[in-house]
Amino acid sequence: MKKLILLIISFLVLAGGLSAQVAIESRDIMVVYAGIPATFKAGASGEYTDVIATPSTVLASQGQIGQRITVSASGKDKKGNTVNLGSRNYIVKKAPKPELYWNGIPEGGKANKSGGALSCRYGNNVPFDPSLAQFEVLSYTITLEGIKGSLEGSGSSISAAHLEVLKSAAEGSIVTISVRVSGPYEGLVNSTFKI
Amino acid sequence: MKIIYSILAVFGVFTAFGQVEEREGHVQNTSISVLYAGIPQEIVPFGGKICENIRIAGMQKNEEGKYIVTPTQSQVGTQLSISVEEKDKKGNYKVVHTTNYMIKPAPKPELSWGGFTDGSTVSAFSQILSVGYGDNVPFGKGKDNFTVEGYSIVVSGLKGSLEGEGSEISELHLEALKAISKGSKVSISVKYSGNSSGRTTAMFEL
Repeated sequence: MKKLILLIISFLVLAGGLSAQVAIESRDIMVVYAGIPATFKAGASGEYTDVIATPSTVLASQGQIGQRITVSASGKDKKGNTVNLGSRNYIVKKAPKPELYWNGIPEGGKANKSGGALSCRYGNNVPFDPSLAQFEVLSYTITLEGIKGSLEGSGSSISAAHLEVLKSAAEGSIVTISVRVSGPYEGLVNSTFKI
Repeated sequence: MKIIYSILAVFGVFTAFGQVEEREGHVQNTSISVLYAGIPQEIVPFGGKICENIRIAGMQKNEEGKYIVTPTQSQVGTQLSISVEEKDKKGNYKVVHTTNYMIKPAPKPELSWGGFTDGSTVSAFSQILSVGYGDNVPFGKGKDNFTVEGYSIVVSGLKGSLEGEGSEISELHLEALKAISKGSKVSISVKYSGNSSGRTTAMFEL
């Protein structure tokens, strides 16, 4: 009899000691970015199996900006029935503005006039993997102190003629390059460089 | 035998309540597992058999009953482990879950000139330059705290640049801008500090 009681008590202690699954949520970062793929996973406490998030991946469109996306958790109970285990809402936001590089030099840097490659990419301050986003530079506008008007061109490479103008600029002068990009972020991106 | 029945009865009640509490799942956006340096962010533990019995290890709730974490700049690039503790039957807390967050530098703010944003056509001249977050940062509004330390203005066709200190364009520089012909492009680059520090540039059309 004592053994039986001990067995039951041991079982109860073990059962009581097992924690239901807990998690942490960063309430300030309940977002999905338009054009940036997001992946979700779900979890639940011990008795549920095959717990999944639906949808498990989301690629929100620009048209969904400002709307909420609901991701649900579901699993199977002991009887094999599918059970809804709750959901979370994520607001869809416009993708962050990328940063503009001229020949690999970021905003505020000393210009490298050896080439005219213009590129946009995310730095390390976006909340997702920066490599998830690719941008195309469609056109550029260059404003250079002392030069009347602006230098405008298409594509992601400063034209040879415009590059010559930049090469002839006085040391220490400031040049601003504004590009129009397409990708998860669409619009203007600017950077200032020192010649 | 009565003792056994009692124990089984208690277990039955416990199990029934346990199942009610357990019917709570969670969803995590695994693409975004970050915290920003210099930005106060709310962390919420949830789940467990009884939600009231869980807490964040090593943190105190603030006056509003929230767990707020504000990583420092020196933590950028490191992982911050945040753990949830659950109280057992003896009243002792033990760690039952840990999430690792990558600490990132705060996002770059955007520049406004008298309320006009990047790419705008300026219809009124203001001295005020401000930097702040738009709606594309992951956290809520009101968490930005930036100071404009100085500016550099370049106008197409104008020789040299207009350089100044602080967040207000000087009277002299403003008069110079007012004298520029309509349609000219003006780029303003400012140095800022606060949640993060650096330089941001905006282009305007007069």
